[in-house]
Amino acid sequence: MKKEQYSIEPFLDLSAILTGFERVDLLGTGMVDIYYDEVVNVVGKATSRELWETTAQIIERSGKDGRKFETAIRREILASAKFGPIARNIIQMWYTGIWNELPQSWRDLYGTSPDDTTRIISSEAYQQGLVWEVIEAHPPAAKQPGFASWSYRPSGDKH
Amino acid sequence: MAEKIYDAVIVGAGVAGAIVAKTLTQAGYRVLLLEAGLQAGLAFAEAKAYENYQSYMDTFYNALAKVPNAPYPNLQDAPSPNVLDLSPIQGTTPDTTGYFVQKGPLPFGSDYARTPGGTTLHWLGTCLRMLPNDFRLKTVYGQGVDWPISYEELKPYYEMAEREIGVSADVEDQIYPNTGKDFFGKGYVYPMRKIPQSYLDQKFIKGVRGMKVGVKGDEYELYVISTPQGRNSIPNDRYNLVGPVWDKATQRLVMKHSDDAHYNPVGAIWDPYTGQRCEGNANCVPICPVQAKYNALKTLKNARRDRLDIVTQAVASKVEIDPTTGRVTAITYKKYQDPDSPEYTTETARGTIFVLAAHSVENAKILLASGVANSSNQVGRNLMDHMVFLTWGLMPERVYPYRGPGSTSNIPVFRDGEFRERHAAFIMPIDNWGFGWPANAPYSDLSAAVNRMNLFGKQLRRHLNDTVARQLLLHFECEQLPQPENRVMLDPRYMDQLGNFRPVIQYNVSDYTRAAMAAAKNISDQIFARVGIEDYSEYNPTDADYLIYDGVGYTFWGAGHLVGTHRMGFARSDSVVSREQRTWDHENLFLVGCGNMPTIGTSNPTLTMAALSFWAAENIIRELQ
Ligand SMILES: Cc1cc2nc3c(=O)[nH]c(=O)nc-3n(C[C@H](O)[C@H](O)[C@H](O)COP(=O)(O)OP(=O)(O)OC[C@H]3O[C@@H](n4cnc5c(N)ncnc54)[C@H](O)[C@@H]3O)c2cc1C
Ligand code: SF4
Repeated sequence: MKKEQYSIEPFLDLSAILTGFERVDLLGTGMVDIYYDEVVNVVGKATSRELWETTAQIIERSGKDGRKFETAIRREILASAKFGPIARNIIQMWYTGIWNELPQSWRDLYGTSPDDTTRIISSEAYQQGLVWEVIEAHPPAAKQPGFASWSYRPSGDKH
Repeated sequence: MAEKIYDAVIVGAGVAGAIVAKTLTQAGYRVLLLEAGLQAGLAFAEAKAYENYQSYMDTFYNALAKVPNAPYPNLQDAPSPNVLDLSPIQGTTPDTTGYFVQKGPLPFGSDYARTPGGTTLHWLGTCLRMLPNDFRLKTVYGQGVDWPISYEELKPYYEMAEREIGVSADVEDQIYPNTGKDFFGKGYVYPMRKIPQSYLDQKFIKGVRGMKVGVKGDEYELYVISTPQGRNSIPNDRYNLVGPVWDKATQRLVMKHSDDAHYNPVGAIWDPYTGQRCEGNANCVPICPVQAKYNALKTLKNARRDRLDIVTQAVASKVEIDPTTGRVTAITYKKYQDPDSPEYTTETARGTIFVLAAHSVENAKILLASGVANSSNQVGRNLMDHMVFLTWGLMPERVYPYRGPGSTSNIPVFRDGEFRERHAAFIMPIDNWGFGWPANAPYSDLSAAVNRMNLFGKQLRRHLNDTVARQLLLHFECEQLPQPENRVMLDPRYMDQLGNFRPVIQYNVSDYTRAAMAAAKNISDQIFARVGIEDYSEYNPTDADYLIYDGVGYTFWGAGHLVGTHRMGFARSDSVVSREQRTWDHENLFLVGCGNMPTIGTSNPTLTMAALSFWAAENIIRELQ
């Protein structure tokens, strides 16, 4: 299914600023479309569209780099009762491949979906978890670095 | 097939059963192996074996709680215990949540896997020998009991076990307290060179070098050694042993020296070139993706298949005895087609010799259910495990955990010493996987950073890299003594759906072991202070295995080392098997597995148990001659 360019772009930009990874890193995981679908499916078309629109407006106003952008994301998305929990879930989804059930207070206000359960999205999602790269390791049981690699610093030097 | 009379009928395709099956078939005997787990788990043809193992991998990837049994099927017809079922026991009401019926007062915190290959599918693979004094604890320290077998006697069988499992270590590194120069035979080397110690180990070693710790007025100098492990490394070109083979002249199993013997690492069961080296998947528990780590399927694959019949989905439930001779005539088992359905057919297996190798708890269960081998009233009693006491904190600099095998080094200083008169011995492994075990890191760190600290983006990355990459976990495995009240029992109110008993477990920890935890915490505090480690250890009354000693609370975890439930001894009055590993009560019934071990010492038990399984096989061959 071909995604509307309009929606995928803000999702990717939002994911990049939230996770601290570059767009190209996120694209490299092969998970962009899957995670996009996950969000839309769980929070619904209307709410997700609003989130992409808000993101796009922020970018239009403040560009994609720098303090201004970060501040706007924090104030208008992370601090928003509606978008905050979704944004925090987006971070954790990228980092671990897990979708976490949204907080009950959010569900009460904005609706529940049968797919809003805590679960690993797929084998691939687990293996593409970014937290492992953040701590300079690798997902246990995947992307193994090879014999004796653990006896060196991740950068490869001994000391 | 069942009516055929075999030389030996073995129950259980774990490491104990596999070693006996391999040894007997290679000596030419016809063996029937009964296994409770699914047929698919015993596929040896490449495509099928691969497909089945990948199904375990896929289940693992998709499991939220990646506990030891997460990858493997939990069968209604042959259930397994699961650490997720653990919680503190309330009052005197048994906790029946999981497969174990937990009577307490403390819940028994270890599991095992009832699946072909058994618990070695999710073991870590640490392969230390026991120390000479472990075999004479009563004589030397007045504690527990002595073994009817000495370290010296078991030594050649350790060599067999180290070859079978494929242990990687350098003899020169292996320095333990109170052992002489001849601990290893002259010129002995392990099949493969040591597994490289982690970067984290090296930083830790630097931090404690030359350090003396004080315990109750005594001083001990700490030193760190690499840990022998059952995972593939670089073959040692000085290794020159082959075998074991049955030697008719001496009536023994022997290893032969041969100058052109080469040790070839044993790879995955689906492809010998996969898993030739540990690749650093950092996932040995619960599943090694490439089978660089030993599991019992490797041994079974090398049994003589033309001599071996295997019946899977066959749950042994009763040992049948001829009341006049006391000999075992058959083993009755329940054969199921669908593991979720309570339907089964009852079948019998006949043979000359019978061997129970179904794991220490299941062996005890089968014996108790059959009312056999129990004239000593010791079956099911003396259940032991290592109390795993953990301490964790942040190192002053990044040490990059979550890489490599679970543990590559240990401090052996407290494995033996006069203090054993007063409190339990313990080994101190240094773990490589951060706060994963006690605190579900790095997931918990991420959740706290995002949801409580409100971090995101580059700041979040920096924070996690700064903290998680500094996580250090120390690990103290404390010895537990045999106590008759720590036991596996049966109760007809608690059955599984095939009508087999569920294990009812009564369990506690004595002050002798509690005192070791207190000593361990004290040592940990001194190490943390010396190295500059910020302590994050935390023990709460809500933890499943929380206990108090001298007014201080400690939490321990199960080690998976289930020992003692059908112990060997000097006399039929206080033990279930003799030093031959034969039941005192039934001359053609042998038991193998950690249940035979009279004490647990401070080594993870499987290597010793594997050595004893060769020892048992030798006695069985002698009997069959
Ligand atoms: C998390 C964990 C980590 C561990 N790490 C280490 C380690 O580092 N070093 C170490 O030495 N040990 C370790 N152990 C312990 C080790 O796994 C066991 O000691 C070893 O696997 C026991 O072997 P076994 O053959 O006796 O039993 P198992 O391996 O449990 O095999 C028993 C077999 O019998 C079958 N069976 C059970 N009941 C029946 C029945 N009624 N009828 C027919 N078949 C039956 C089962 O399906 C299974 O195949 C660990 C254990 C755990 C849980
Ligand atoms: S570190 Fe990885 S490759 Fe090595 S034994 Fe463990 S899981 Fe297997």
